[in-house]
Amino acid sequence: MTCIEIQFKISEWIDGGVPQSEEQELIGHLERCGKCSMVYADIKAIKQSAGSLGEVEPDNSVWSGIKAQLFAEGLVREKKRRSFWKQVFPLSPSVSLKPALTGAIVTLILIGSLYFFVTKSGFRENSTSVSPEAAVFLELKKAELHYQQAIEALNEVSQMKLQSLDPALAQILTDNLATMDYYLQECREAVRSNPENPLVHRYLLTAYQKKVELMQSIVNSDSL
Amino acid sequence: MPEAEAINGCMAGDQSAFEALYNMHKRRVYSLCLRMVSNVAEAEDLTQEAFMQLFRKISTFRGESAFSTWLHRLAVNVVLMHLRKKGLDEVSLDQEPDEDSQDSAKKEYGGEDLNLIGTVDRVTLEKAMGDLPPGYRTIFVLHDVEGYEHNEIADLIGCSIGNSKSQLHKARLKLRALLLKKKVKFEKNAT
Repeated sequence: MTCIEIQFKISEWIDGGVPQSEEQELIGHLERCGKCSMVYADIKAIKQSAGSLGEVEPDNSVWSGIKAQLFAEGLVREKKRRSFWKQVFPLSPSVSLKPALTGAIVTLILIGSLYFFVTKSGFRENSTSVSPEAAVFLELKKAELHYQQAIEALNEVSQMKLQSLDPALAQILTDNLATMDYYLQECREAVRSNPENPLVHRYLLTAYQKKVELMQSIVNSDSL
Repeated sequence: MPEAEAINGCMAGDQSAFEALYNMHKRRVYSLCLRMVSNVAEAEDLTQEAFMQLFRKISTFRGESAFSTWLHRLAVNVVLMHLRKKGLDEVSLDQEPDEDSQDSAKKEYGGEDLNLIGTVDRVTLEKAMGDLPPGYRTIFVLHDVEGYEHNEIADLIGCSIGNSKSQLHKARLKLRALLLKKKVKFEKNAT
C-alpha cells in the first residue's frame, strides 16, 4: 500500500474501523515510515482534543430573541402560576392585560370609591362633620412617604429590567405603569381637593401600593 | 424542574417549561451551531431557530430516544438546512484528494518533518476548525466533536458511508495542515 492508502487506513484505524487482519500491515508500515507515523500521532491528537472541547454559553440575547418570536407568533400561552395581575384582578384574562382594560378597571374603582366617599361617609363640601384626628393623618402621610421611597428605589431597577424584556411585553408593562401613574395623579388631585378626608388619602395609598406591586413584579419579571 | 416534567409542560405550551428545557440544553445546541458555522451571529440565529423548532415539534417527540439526542439531531438538521440554503462553497463529497492528501504539510513547509507533538491546544483547534471549508467542517464536527457514527452522518447529510469516511479523513489532514501552519507561524514569531 502507498502512504496515501496507509494514511486513509490510519484514520479508519483510529476510529476502530480496520479489521485485525490489516492491523499488522499498518503497524509494520508505521515502524518503517516516519512521515506516516507522525500523521498517525497528529490525527490521534486532533481527534482526542476535538472530543474534549467544552461547551459554550450562548448570549442572553438568544433567549430574548426566542421569547420575542414566541410572542410574535402567538405560540405561548398563559403561565399556570398566578401573576400579579391575576392576584389583583382575578377575572383578568392574562398578564398582558391591555392598558385600556386596566384604565377602565382603575376608573371604575376610582368612581366607586368616590361614590362611596360621598354617599356613605357623610362628606359634604365645606362640611365639618368629617374631622379626622391628626394622628391618623400623620400615619397616612408616613405611609405615603414610605411608598414614594419604595417607588423611587424600584424605579431604576424596573427600568433596567424592562430593557431586558421582550419588547412587546415591555411595552405592555410600560403602558400599565403609565395607567398607574394616571390613577395616582387622579388620587393626588382628589387629596388636594379634599385634604381633610382620610378616605381619599387611603385611595392614594392604594394607588401607590398597586404601583409598587407592579414594579416589583417587573423586577421579578423572570416569573412573568 | 426535572427534564421529563419540562418536556410535558412544553408539550402543553407552558413557557416556563420551555425556558427550563432551553436552560438545560442551550450550551450543547449553541456549541454545535457555533462549531458548524464558525460565526457567532449565525450560531445565535441558528440556536434560536433550533429551539423554536423544538417548541413547534415537541409533540412529535415519542421518547424513543433520549430527549437530548432528539434535540441534537433537530439542531443538526437546522444547521445543515441553513448551510444548504446558503449554498456555501461546500466541498464536494466526490472531491479527489489533492493538496490535502498525504504530504501537504511537507510541501508547504519546505520538506521539514513537522508534527504536533501529540498535543493540540483547544483554542488553536477551534480557530483551525473555523478555517476549514464548510463541508469538511461539518463532517469533522459531527464525527470528532459530536461523536456521530459514519452511518448516522451519511443519513443526516445524504451521502454514502464511504464518502463520510473519506471526507473525514480529508478534513483531518486539512486540519493538521492548518495547525502546522499556525505552529510554524507561532514559532517564527517567537524567535
